[in-house]
Amino acid sequence: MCVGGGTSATTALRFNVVAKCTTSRARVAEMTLPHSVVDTPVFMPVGTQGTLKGLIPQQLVDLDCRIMLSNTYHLGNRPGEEVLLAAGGLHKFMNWDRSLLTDSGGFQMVSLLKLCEITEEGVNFESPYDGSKCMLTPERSIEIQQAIGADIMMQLDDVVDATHTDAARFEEARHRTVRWLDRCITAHTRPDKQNLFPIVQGGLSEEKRRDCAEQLTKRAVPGFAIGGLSGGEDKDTFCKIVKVSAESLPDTKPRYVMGVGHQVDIIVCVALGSDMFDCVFPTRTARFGSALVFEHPGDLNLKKAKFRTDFRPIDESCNCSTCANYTRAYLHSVVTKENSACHLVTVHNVAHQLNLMKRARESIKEDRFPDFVAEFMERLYPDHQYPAWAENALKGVGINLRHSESKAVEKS
Amino acid sequence: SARPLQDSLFDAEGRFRSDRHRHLVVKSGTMNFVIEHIGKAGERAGHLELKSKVFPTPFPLLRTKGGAIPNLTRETLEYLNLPETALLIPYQYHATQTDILQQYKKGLGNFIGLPTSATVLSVEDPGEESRTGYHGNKNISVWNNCNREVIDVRRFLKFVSAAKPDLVLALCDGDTPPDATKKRVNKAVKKSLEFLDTCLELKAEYPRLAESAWIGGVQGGLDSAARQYSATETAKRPVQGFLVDGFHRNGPTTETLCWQTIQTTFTETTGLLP
Repeated sequence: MCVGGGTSATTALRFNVVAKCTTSRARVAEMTLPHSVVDTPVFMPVGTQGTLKGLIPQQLVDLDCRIMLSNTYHLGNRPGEEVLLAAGGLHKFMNWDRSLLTDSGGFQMVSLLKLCEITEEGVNFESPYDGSKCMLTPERSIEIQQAIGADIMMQLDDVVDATHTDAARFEEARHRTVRWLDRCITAHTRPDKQNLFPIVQGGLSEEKRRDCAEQLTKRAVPGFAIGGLSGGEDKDTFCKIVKVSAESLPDTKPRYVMGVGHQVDIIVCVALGSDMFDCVFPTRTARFGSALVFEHPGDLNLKKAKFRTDFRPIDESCNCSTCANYTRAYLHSVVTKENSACHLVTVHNVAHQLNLMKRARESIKEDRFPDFVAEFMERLYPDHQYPAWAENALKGVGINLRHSESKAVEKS
Repeated sequence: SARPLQDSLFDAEGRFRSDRHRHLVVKSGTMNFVIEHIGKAGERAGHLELKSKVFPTPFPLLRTKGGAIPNLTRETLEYLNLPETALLIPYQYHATQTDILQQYKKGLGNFIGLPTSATVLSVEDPGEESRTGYHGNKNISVWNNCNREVIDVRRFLKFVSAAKPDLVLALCDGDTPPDATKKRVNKAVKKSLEFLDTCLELKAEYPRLAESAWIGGVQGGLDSAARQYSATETAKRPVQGFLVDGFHRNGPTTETLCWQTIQTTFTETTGLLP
């Protein structure tokens, strides 16, 4: 598998679907970006400030991570646009020569800043440093993202918390998102080097989502994101909206569901036709001493006394450097006490997510994705008490988790 | 991986290998030491062989805390491509891990993810200031994350047997800060010798300890007489080396330790060691 990039002069992204699940909407593709080839579905670990906390780029290369995400809001503050331009972009600054994706900065502003007001012009906010009045416009967001130089940039969208109650706000937001997309496209001067993804908004209304997707599809963009979710809405609705949004987007371009990172959520979204995911959860939970596994309950809280003399690695089937060299007992002895413990568990959790995606892709290529999903869910829920939202969403695309149960009943 | 070290100091027939003039050779099977050059002021250069690895002396140990080299993992340590060196593992962070290591059976080096490294077990962590006081006649106290552990020789040996370090700094009492009373200094000297004698006597009960080399701690603070006594007495014991202890209480403040203050006592002490 060639990892190097390479794109034509007019497009910075090639999306080549190599396999489709004949039951669900899952598919495997090779996405060629300027810095690397990325196999989808893909999980992108989040390195907010130009680094995955506690890891160096070499470790990510050793894990064969092909793309990671960084945050424009944080990088725009520190080190700032000037430094990044002088360094020749974030890739050079952080010594990572594979692909990067940046968000627009809008979401952080809305979630991190107390005084933040959205107008047609842009996002009005108070600088967290000196309280001065600042404005993040679509043009400015693109400017900063171009200085960062990521392979994929996100449009500045009018993001509204999905649990917001005012329907008119959602209506306003999705129309504005389309207008801001056009401004972003106009401001984007390097379509041959960087890709710009629009973000489907529309709250929790199927109709609004379909309409928004339709509008965005009319623009010449290389891929799409589905945003405004994973903010506390109920899971049934979440799945419904992801499914509808994905269905309304072209098959020939990547679909990125923003902020999705728990194992079950990822697998369900893959079944619904999603290609890209990001989430801080795996890396953040690692720093709290929690290691991700495929067995029930899905994670090990290494602080617990029961691991004191457990001399197995976190996951016997994992080939990350942590599992190759360290036991749960050792990790228990240092977790929350030594920084090294954070690094060790982070490496494993990233490896776990990448492994999960790899196994999913392999099963799709061999057209046994439904069996893979059933096995995956059974390992997490050996008592078969599957979360109803997941079971229903999977059933909706033809994957029956109880299939093997009925098989077993037939046999006996 | 680490840069390769040179071959063993001794050939298959047990003859010392170097073609350079040798001043002193200690051959103990577990640890071999040769001094090859002695300078005008008494400084020496040579080689130390431990766990089949040959280190040029003087050389720095790589300090660990809880078994981790601070902020590094085995993976990132390898990226540094440092010349190989031995690990310093302070017992204070592992004092409650005896039962774990007994069940684990593969030793402390394996437990911390660095099975091929040579390991040196000290009692205290030179990198963190040690708390003074809290000692008994037959024990000392060590601190681990604000928890106090009372250590006597038996407890210490049980741990060492389960941990199997390559080189052990025998349990000793080095709590003699610059303002220590004469009584405290003499206590430290007396207890350290008693601990050492008990360690050497009891270690025969622990077959797993047959392969470790032992180092005795020389105490006495800044008291010349106490230092003389401690050095000459410790030198009579069958140890493979000496810890020149008791000049500070570890931690960042040792950076401000003034050589002039300790120079006389220090050189007197080393002068009395073989």
